Amino acid sequence: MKITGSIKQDTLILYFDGELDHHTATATREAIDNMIQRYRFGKVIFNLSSLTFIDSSGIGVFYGRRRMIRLDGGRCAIVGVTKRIERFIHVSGLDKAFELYKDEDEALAVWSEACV
Amino acid sequence: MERGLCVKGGNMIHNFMKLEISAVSVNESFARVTVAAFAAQLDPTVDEITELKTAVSEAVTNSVIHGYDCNGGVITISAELFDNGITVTVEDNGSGIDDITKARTPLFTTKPAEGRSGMGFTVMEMFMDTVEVTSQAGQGTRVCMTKYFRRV
Repeated sequence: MKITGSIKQDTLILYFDGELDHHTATATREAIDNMIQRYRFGKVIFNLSSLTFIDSSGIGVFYGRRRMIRLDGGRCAIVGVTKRIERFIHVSGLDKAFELYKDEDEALAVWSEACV
Repeated sequence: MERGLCVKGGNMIHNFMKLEISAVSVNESFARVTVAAFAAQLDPTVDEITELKTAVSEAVTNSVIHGYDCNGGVITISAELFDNGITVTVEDNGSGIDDITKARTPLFTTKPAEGRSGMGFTVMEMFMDTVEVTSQAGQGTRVCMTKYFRRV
């Protein structure tokens, strides 16, 4: 699993490239937490467009990060859900727990409107 | 049962496989990809393959984390094809499950501190057509799941 970050409009965008299972969960969790702590924007977008596999180990990763971000008064969203992982995102309830957008531009547009 | 496989009544046995792996997390992807590759000869859809892979991943992960408490051991995965689907059995000789009903309850986990979601069995049930769990404390656990592939 490769995780890279970029910053747009005071928002940290994290890109996931690879498979998220029990084996990769710990390193993934640590990578996300490091970046969130380093940038402290409060607003985080998880871009899953290059995530090729996810199982229930991934649910724990995303719910845990959501809790942490919200405790800090932040906001988070999931974008770029492909057909490959769509059903899992639905079955796991991640689509209800997170704000879900087509891509990061849509998320950023909605978030900037809300702030006006 | 012969070769530790689940034989579904009425369905002819066409083909089977058996795989023994170390209960280490790096083998989770190996196990799911192997079963998916075996199932591919029935020409399932991409969605069906994804669902099968996810269910196998959950069962194998359970054996690694809960069966053997991440201390290693042997996991045996067997699969059997029938004309329109696959039966996969994942077995370990680990600690076993005290209360299977509880273990299968959505969001129930014995390891909340480790960020486990408690959704493993729920995902298996959602993605497979049948999931049978047999377990004995101190002896191990066996998960037997069947998935039918719908021809289009």
